[in-house]
Amino acid sequence: MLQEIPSGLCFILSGILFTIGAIGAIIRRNVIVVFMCIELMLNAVNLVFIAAANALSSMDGSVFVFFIMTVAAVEAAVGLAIFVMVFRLQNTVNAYEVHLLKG
Amino acid sequence: MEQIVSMIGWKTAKTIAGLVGVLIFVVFNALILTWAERKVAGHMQRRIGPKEVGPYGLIQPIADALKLLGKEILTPRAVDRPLYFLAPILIFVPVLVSFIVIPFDASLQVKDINVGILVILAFSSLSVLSILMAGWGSNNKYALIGAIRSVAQNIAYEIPLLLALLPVIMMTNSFSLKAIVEAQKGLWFVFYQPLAFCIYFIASVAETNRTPFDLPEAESELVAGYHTEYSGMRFALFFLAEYTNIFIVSAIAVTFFLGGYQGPFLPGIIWFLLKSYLLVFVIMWLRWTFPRVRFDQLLNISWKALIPLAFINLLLTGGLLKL
Amino acid sequence: MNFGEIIFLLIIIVTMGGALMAILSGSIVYALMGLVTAMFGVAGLYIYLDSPFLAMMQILIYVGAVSVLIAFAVMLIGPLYRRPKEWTTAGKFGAALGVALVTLFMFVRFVTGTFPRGGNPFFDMTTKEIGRLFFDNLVLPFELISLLIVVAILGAIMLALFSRGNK
Repeated sequence: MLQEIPSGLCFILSGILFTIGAIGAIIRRNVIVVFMCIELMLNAVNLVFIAAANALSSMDGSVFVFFIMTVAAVEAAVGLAIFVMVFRLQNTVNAYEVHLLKG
Repeated sequence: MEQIVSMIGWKTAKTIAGLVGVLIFVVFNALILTWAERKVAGHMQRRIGPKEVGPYGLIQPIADALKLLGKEILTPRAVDRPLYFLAPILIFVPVLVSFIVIPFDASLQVKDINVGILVILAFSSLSVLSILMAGWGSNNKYALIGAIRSVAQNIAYEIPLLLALLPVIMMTNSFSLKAIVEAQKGLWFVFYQPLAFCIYFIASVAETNRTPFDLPEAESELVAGYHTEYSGMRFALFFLAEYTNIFIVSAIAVTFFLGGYQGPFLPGIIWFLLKSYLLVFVIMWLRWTFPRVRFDQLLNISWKALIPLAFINLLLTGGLLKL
Repeated sequence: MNFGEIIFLLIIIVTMGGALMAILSGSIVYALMGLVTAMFGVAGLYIYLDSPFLAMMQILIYVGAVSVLIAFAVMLIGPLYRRPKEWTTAGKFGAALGVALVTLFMFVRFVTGTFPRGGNPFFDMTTKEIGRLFFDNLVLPFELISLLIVVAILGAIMLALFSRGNK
């Protein structure tokens, strides 16, 4: 019963998910929310990879997902450290108010 | 009944029956453990513990539960309502999911998933999140500090926990809990991996927020940590989840290191419960033996002692397996 | 429509709802909860696509690590931070609409395009195969990724130490 789901549906789904993420990254100003939207887009890409791996019976997609996940984790670690630093120096994380390169 | 079974399929019906069984077991287990905790505490302090309600005070937890149920459910005015209401329910999900994959006996397992241990570890990260929700939603500084401490601690100890389980997985070539138990027919893994067992045990005591690592709910400084603002039934749910988690970490230790349901003479389920409750007893024993550690000590133990040791153990295991 | 399909539809709805909540909600904490919901939904989809191992990894990494990290950052920043006027201008709205249309167009194009099917149908995406691939063909990227993680951890620690010494 579980195998009957077409992976084409998952492509469309991940397209919608990616679009939601992209819209979010544009309309929000809070850096953390923008970051979350990027994570959302990465998730959508992962979904495409796995759906393709399933459709093509190929292992490459699922291996690539690992790399993406790792990069997402790394990005979270460094990115959030940077956000906290920016907040300490400039007392804001609003992307419109952060315009100094040197604090 | 027949119709329902034929509609959702036999496998699904079996899983649902298993889930109901798990729920009953969770409640029963929490009742026993609260009684045992008070009894153990009493005897360690040269008291008797509860003795009035029922023989040896055995019905005491039921009386406590009735009292908790009868209490007024308070909702403080300033709480963040959705988060506050969702947290006690969400903390229960990982508990139930973990029971699905634990093999109580050779045939007594709700579902043998081939990534079994990963299911438990993945869903236990959800409990971290619900603690965070509880702490944030309560809108109380004690709750928030307790939640943040709990999360820092959980992150720090999840790594040695995973690293201590990995050598066993390397030795059995499987994530399935049943396969791991079956692989211990000859000699239990605790004899191959004593260091991993110690690391796992210390980390699991920290994961369940028990003394000596109970900083998230240190009552002398933080009132009660993240469940300060919860009362009545909601508090009971946190309580239930905590005691069930103690059983789960013990059960995983038994499955991975102490041969699971295997043992001579007695049926498997008896062995399994015997070993698990023995470990639960040790965890309770620790509570009344050691003082609470400081927060910097807590994090240093994990990052500077347990994780390097676990890595060395992992390397040695990998090397020895290839020899 | 059988049991499995109903659950699949539920997962889709939950995923989309979570994603929408993540981008639309005013409070960062709710946005985070939405993100977590969406990630869980995606993990559920992975199970339907025959990769339970990756589904568990998804939960372990995204829910267990990334969202907890975000939650930490929110706790360090959010509670002190005056809520900004988040909402959007006409120009931004237009840009968002454009992005939405272009992306959707591309995806529709992609999905309706011809898609070669290959490989053996009884192909099994086991954990063992993934591991073999990692240590066989992809050793170099695998090692580079681990190097990247080490560098990132060191970088995060340096950032934390630097800000403490600055005070």
